[in-house]
Amino acid sequence: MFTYYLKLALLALKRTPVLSTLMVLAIALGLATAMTSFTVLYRLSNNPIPHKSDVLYAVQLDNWDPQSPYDRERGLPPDQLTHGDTRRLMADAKGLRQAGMYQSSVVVVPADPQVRPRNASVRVTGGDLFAMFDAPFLHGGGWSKEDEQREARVAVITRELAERVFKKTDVVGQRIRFDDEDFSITGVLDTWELRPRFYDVTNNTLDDPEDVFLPFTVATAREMDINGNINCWQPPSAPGYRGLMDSECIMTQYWVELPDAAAVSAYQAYLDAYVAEQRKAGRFGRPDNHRITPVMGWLAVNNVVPDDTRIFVGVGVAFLIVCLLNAAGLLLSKFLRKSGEIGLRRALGARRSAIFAQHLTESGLIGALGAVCGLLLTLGGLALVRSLMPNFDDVARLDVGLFGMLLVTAVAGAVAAGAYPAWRACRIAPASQLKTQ
Amino acid sequence: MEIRPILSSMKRNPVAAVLIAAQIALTLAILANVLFIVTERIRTMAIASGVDEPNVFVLGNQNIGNTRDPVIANEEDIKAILAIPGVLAASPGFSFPLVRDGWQTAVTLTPGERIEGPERAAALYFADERLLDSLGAKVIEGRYFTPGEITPFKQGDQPNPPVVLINKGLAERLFPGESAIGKMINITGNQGEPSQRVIGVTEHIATPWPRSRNPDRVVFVPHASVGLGGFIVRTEPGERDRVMKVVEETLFKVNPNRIVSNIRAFEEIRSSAFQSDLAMAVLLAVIGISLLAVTAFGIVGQASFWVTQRTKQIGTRRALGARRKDVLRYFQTENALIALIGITIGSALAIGVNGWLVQNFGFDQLPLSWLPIGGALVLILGQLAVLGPALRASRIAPAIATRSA
Repeated sequence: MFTYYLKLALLALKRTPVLSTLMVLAIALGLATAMTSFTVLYRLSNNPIPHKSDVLYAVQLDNWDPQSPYDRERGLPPDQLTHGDTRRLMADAKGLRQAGMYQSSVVVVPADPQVRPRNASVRVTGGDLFAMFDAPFLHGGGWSKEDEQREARVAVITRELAERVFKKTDVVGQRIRFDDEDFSITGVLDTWELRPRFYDVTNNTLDDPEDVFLPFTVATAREMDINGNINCWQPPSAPGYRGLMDSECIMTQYWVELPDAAAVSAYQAYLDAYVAEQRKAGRFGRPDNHRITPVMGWLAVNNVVPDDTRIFVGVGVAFLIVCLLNAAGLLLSKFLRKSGEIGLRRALGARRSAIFAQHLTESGLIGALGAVCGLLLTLGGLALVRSLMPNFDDVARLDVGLFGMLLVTAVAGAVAAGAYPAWRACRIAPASQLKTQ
Repeated sequence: MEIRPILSSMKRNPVAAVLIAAQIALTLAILANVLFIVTERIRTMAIASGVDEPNVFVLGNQNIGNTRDPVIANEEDIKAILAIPGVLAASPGFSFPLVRDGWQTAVTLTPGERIEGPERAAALYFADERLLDSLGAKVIEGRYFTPGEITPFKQGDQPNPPVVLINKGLAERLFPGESAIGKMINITGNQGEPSQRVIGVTEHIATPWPRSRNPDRVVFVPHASVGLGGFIVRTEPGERDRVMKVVEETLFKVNPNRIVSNIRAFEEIRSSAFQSDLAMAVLLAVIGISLLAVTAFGIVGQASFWVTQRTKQIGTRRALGARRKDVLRYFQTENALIALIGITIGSALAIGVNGWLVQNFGFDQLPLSWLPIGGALVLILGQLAVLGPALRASRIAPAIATRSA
C-alpha cells in the first residue's frame, strides 16, 4: 500500500512542479540553516573527556581585592590562581591527582645550524596532567615526581613536533634543545583531539593542546614567561619574575581529580582549611568564595559556547519554523486544489484513512526530498562558516549522527506540516465535489 | 474598496490566511532583530583605529640566546628597519590598536580612590621616541616625549614614569571640559599619590581591544619595550608591500639568531579583530535574504492557489460588471489585510525577541522606529509577491463564468 501511495505522491509532485519545487526548497533552506547552526553548537558543546568529565574539577580561590569583587555581575571568584597558591596546592596534593598549569613558549633550536629555529607552544604543568586527562601516549610516558623535585630538564612532546624535528616519532630518551638548554624527552603524545581544550578556557579554547609539556618546577626555576592572561588587582610588591610569582596576580589554571563524593567533600574541607590558614597570613580579604567545578559546568560558566552561536541557533530554528509554516500553507493549497479528484476517489470507495495516509505520504516525500537538498545546502553552509571563521575549522564539520537527525526532523516536520492539510483533504465529501465537476 | 467580502471569505477559510499571517509575523520578528544585529556589527567593524592603516604593518620578533645586550640589539634593529628605503618610522612593542594583546591598567586621580568596574580602565602603549609617528597619529595638545624621557622596559618591569601622554577619549573622560595638560594621574594601579604628569593629548587612538566597553581610552608611557613582541612600521604610501617583503632578511643581516614571525599588514589585524563580527553579519544577512525569499514565494504560491480556486467567482464578478482593476485590488487588499495582521503580531514578537536578547546577551534595545520600517518592507514584499497572481486573476475573462458546469 505504501509503495502505491509513494507512486501517487510522485505523480502529484510531477503534476505541480513549481509548487513542489518551492516546498522542497523552503524545507531544504530551513533545514540547512538550522542544521548548520546546530552543528556548530553541538561541536562547541562537546564533552571533551566524556568518561572522566564528572571526576575532574577546576579549582577557584578568591584572593581578589577586599574592596571590590572580581566579578560584580555574577559573583564568581577569579577564573585563575596565583602562582603561589598553585605551588602550595600542588605540594599539599590532597586530590587523587592534581596539576596547576599555564601556557608558555620555547624556541626549538634545531641541531642543524642551517635550519632556522621556530617557536613551540608549551604547557607548563604538574606531572599528573597526563594520567588525569588520559593523554594519549604514542611512546614513553610522563615524568616522575622525582624528576619534578630535582628540576630535571625533561619534556613530553607531540608527535607533530617529533616528526618536525627528528623526522620520526620514537624519540624517547633523545635530547631536544629549547632556548639555551637541552631537555630529555620522556614521552611522545599521539594526536590529541581535545575539543574544546577545556583545561584552559581563559586563553584560546579552540586551539590544539600545546606542542611541548614541561614540569612546573622546571619552568619556575627557568623563569619561563607566562603567555596567557595575567590579571592583577594590585601591582606586585617586588619587581621582576620573582615579584610576579609571589604577587596576588592570577595566571594559572588548576585541576584536581576527585573520584567519589567522599573525595569531593574532603577536598572542599581542605580548601576551607587552606583559605583559613592563608587568612592568618593576611591574605584572602574577601568573604569565602572558593569552589571546585566539574568539566561541563566549567565550560558552561566560562561561556565556551559563544553567545553568537546561541543567537545563530535561535535564528536558524525560527527560520525553520517559517519554512515549515510555508510548507503547511502550500500543502494545504495543493491538496485542496485536488478536491475534485479526492471526491471522486471517495465516491469510488476510498476510505478517509486511505486519503489521509496518502496525503501524509506525499508530505513525507516532500520532506525527504527537502532533506536531501538540505544536506547539500548544509554542507555549503558549513563551508561558509569555515571560510568566515578559520578557527572553527574543526567545529563546522557535518556530524553523521546529526545528519540522521536532519533526515528525521525533515520528514517529521513535513509530515506534521502536512497533517492538517491531509486531514482537510480527507474530510472532503464525495457528493459535493462530484456535483461541481 | 469594500473590505467586508474579503473578510467574510477569509472567515470561511481561515487556515490558509492564518498560516500566511503567522509567516509574516515571524518573518518580521526575525528580520527586525537580524537587521539590528547586522547593523550593530557593521558599526563595530567600522571603529576607527587612529592608525594610518594602508601604510602600516607589524611583525613579531624574538631574539635567541643572550649574547647581545637587549637594549643595544633593539636599537640596532630599529636603525636597520629605518634604513630600508620607503620606511618613515618604526617602533618596538607588542601592543598596538586592534591587536587584542596588551596591557590594561586603572587610572586614578586621587590617592586611595576606588575604581568601580571598567570605568577607569585604559590601555597602556609603550612609546619610544617615534611611536606616534609609526602609528601615523598626531598630538593635538601639549607635546610628545623627548628622547631623553624615554627609558627601556623589559619583562617584569612595572611602568611608573614621571610623564605620560593620553588620547582624546581618556582626556575627555578624566577632565571633561578642561585641558588635561599638566594634570596629575596615577597609572600604576596601586591607588597611591598621582605621580604621572600629562604632557600631551593625542588624537583618537583605539585600544588593542576594539570590542571592549571602552575602546577609546589610552595612556602612552615613555618606555621603549625591549625584547617584547616585535615592531610596528609605517612606510611611504605604496611602499608597504615591498618593505614587508625585505624586512625579515634585513633583520637577519643584523643578527641571524632570531625568530621573525607574523608579518601582517594592518588590514589583516583589523579583519582578524573583527572576524566573528563579519561572520555573524554575513551569516545573518544570508538567513535574512533567504527568509524574505521563502516568505515571498509562500505568498506567491498561496495567492496563485486562491486565483485558481476562485476562477469562477472572478469570472462571475467580471460578468456582473467588476473591472479588471477591481479584481486586482481585491487580491492586493486581501494580502495587505493579512500582512497588517502579521505585522502587528510580528512587531510584538520582535520586541519580545529583542527583550530576550537584551536580558541574556546584553544586547541594546531595538529602536522602536525599526518596526514600522520593517513592517513597511514586509508589506511591500507581500504586495510585490501577490502582484503576479493578482494580475493573472484580473485577466480572467467574464465568459469563464458561463463556460464550466
